[in-house]
Amino acid sequence: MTRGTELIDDGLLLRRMIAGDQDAFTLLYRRKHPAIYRFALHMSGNCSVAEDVTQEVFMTLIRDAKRFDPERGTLGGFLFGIARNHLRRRWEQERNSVPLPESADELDAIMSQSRNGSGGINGRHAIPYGNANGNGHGLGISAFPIHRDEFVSQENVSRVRHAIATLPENYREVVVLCELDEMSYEDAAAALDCPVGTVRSRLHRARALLLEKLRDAQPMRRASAVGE
Amino acid sequence: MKEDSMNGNFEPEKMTRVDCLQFEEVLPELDRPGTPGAALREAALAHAEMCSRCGALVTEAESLDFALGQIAQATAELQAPPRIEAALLREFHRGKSVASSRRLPWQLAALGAAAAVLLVIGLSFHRPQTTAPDKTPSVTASLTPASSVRGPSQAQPSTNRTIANVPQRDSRTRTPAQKTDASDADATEYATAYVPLPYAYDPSELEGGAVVRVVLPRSALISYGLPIEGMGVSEQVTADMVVSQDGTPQAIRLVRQVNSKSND
Repeated sequence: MTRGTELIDDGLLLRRMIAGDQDAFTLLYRRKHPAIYRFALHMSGNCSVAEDVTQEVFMTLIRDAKRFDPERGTLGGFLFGIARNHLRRRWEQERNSVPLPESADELDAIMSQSRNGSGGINGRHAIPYGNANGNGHGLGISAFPIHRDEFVSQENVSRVRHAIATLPENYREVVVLCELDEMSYEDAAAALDCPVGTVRSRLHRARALLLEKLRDAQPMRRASAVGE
Repeated sequence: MKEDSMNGNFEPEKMTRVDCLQFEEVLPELDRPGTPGAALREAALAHAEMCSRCGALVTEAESLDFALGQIAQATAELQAPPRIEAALLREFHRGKSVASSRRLPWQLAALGAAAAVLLVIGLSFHRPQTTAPDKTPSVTASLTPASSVRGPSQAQPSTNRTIANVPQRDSRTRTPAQKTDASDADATEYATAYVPLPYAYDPSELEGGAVVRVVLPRSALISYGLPIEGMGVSEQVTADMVVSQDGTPQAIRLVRQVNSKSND
């Protein structure tokens, strides 16, 4: 994406898209979809769910773009709202079904892939843990040969990942947006359609819950402290 | 605070800015620019240096931040696979073609409706002119051209000319638009040209005269010298008569009223 296209306002792109401009849609998609995809991935822990949600969000935009009202919020907030609705609907459906092994949390695999710098998601190194279906239930383990300090670091990361997965939805959302996507309180508030103060208090509470869960499981060790 | 005091870490003179309660509140925001925590960062860290409990909280928070940072870093560049974009572009194309195919029938329907309206309007203007001649009897008589009323001497040469095959509209004849405003909105008049009467010898008499609408018996027309035999004229005939100032009839024309409702 060039600097020139980055300067084009979302609203203008949307208007052009509604008028049938395919380039405008492509630009809008490439600009907005990574955040939506990551949000769905962190919330569900599953790549295929994240892909489905991303596709559904932009399908909705194609079919019903006129539903977006700039008076009520940003386009990003509108898209996150659609993504959240899709995720909730999905969880409602999955609540009554038995989860398949394929629906397990794949973020560990992504993390290990990132660390090893090779392999695809299909050639995952991590053993997926069962039933981490986005409702925050179920834990798993990572198992691959690594050095001790790296192990401690990975262990912490993995435990934090699983702790996030067990957070209630509204707390998980703020952790994903503010901590993992590094959004400002204001942007997160726009995405979640709630006041900034709510984001701040939820994040505070979410972090406290995370620390509580991690303390209960095992004392956390700082990777930098290992080997001293 | 009690624990801190018991541990001997409590230094009241340095606790004036941030206490343990405040510290816990701002701890998650110490590294987040623009937040209250960032504004109190130095004071909060100073407090953590002296308070073992809050110091432990900092260690825990740093460990959590480290893990969160690792996750964020590992997933920062993640994007949906290209096939999602391809599928969406296909949907975009499909939506566009569906929208245009939806628009086309509407455009055709609108054009058709407009054409129908124009046709109806055109027919409503055209119909009286095309149907009226069939209903108006042609008058073959020794009549003068329709445009003027002439004296008998001028009228003679025009004997036996047919002038009323195509009736002319009277100046009082209303257009369809005018009809709607009039009380007798449904009547349309057709008239022949004025025919000078045989004894009307002085055309100057017409100046200052008047036009009088009369209903005459058929026999009266004969008495005026109008040869109407075999023309299908009814017993009572409506006519406009030009009378001079002294009331003498100078010219006459036949008038037929056609009720447009009955035509419709």
